Amino acid sequence: MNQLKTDESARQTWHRYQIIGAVIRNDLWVSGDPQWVDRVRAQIEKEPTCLAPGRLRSLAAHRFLKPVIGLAVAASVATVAIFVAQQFEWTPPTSVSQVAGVSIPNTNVDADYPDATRWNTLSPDMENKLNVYLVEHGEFTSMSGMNGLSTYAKFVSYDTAP
Amino acid sequence: MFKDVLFAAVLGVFSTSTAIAGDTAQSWLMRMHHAAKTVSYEGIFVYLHDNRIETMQVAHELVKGVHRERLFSLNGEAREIIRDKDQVWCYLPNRKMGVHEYRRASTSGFPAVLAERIDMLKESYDLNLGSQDRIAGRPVQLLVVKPKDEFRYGYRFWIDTEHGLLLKVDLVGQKGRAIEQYMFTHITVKSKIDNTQFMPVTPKANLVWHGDEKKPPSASSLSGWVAQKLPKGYRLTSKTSRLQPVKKVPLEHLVYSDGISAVSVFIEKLQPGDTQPMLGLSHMGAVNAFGRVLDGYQITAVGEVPAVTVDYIGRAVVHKN
Repeated sequence: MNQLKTDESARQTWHRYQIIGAVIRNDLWVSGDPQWVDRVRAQIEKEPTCLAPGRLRSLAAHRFLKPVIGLAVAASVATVAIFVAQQFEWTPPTSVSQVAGVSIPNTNVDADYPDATRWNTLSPDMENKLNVYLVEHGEFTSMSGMNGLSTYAKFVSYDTAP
Repeated sequence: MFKDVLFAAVLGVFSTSTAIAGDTAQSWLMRMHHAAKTVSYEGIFVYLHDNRIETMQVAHELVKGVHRERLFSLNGEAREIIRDKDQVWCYLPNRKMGVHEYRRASTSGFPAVLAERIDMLKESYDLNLGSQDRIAGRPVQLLVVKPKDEFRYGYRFWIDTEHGLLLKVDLVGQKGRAIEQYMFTHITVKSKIDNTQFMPVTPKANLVWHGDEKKPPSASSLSGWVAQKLPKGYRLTSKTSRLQPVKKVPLEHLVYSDGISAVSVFIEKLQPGDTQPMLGLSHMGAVNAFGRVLDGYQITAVGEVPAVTVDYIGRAVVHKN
């Protein structure tokens, strides 16, 4: 941990693993920046084969297969990214972080989401009042969201950990 | 007896597994609404919003006309919501907080989806059937609900062709792309659901509770409050008054709806010692709220609608003597 304080390279590695962990845990979502997919693809193609585990590593030893494997991995990543990007309207990112040398939109690996909070900029009293109002309102929204489930799902979901 | 036969006949029509010849977007909407009120089920759904994904378990049961439901977060703290015929409990252990409300909509709630109301939807939305698909292992029909102006979101509903249950919803923003999504990954239709599915995991005593301590008495209406203009398609669909549980002052609740989207307006007289009133806009994801003060009353408009809609309706509310 001390090394992280002084070693920029170690810090970047640590950040990279945090992001990989977040991807595995489904914590990480990326914004709809189409260029990000291209950058990931290009970067993966440049990655040394030692990153490929087990059978992939032995396959990668065959020089002629390396570009194919790189493209296949890139394609899977790109597919996931495109799926996510196409699904949602998101605000363009205002800052970027680095993963494997590739710029990606800012993530929630060690930060909270400004938008994923209850009732932005309100006092606790007003927030509590709006929570009560929202629960009451949920009784009147049966058409628009799975019989009112959407309102309650929001109520449960938008709960910033203290 | 006649009613029973009629009900069985209607249920038969709605639950048929084969697409009916001449099916329309309107008939699918009616089937969806009917299923929500008649089918018992348990399942797991995901809720995607704001770069986040939440996985939730839901159990919904209807026995002898009485509904009960439990929504339980499978990620992080055990946040849950339990509803029965009369009450709603929201457990938020992260915050050591609970919200408890007596339900008022059971008697005065969302208007039934009758044919004439479906026709009214056409003022505000274009309804179109999309392709058939498969969600949670079940065949579904896509229904696309496209708004005609900026005062409402759009929707894409994927409806179970056998039971009419809503298995996936996209909430669609101004650019025509999803801003939130709910989707069942597993669902089982059952006639009876085990009692344990409706039990909270967090003891009530561990939380500080907000809302109603006991059933709020009805209050004489704060008559005269009305929105003097509304976005096209919105109408007053409910008006209730009750005593605010803590301060014992009347609280007026008006609901305006276009048949799919709804905005609640709460009107409450400010009391000495009240904290700073809410002024302007706030939001929680796709839900927007707008507050203002008029003649010593706090007016708050809340709904899963664009900010422009709560702003418009919140500003339009006046007191007419």
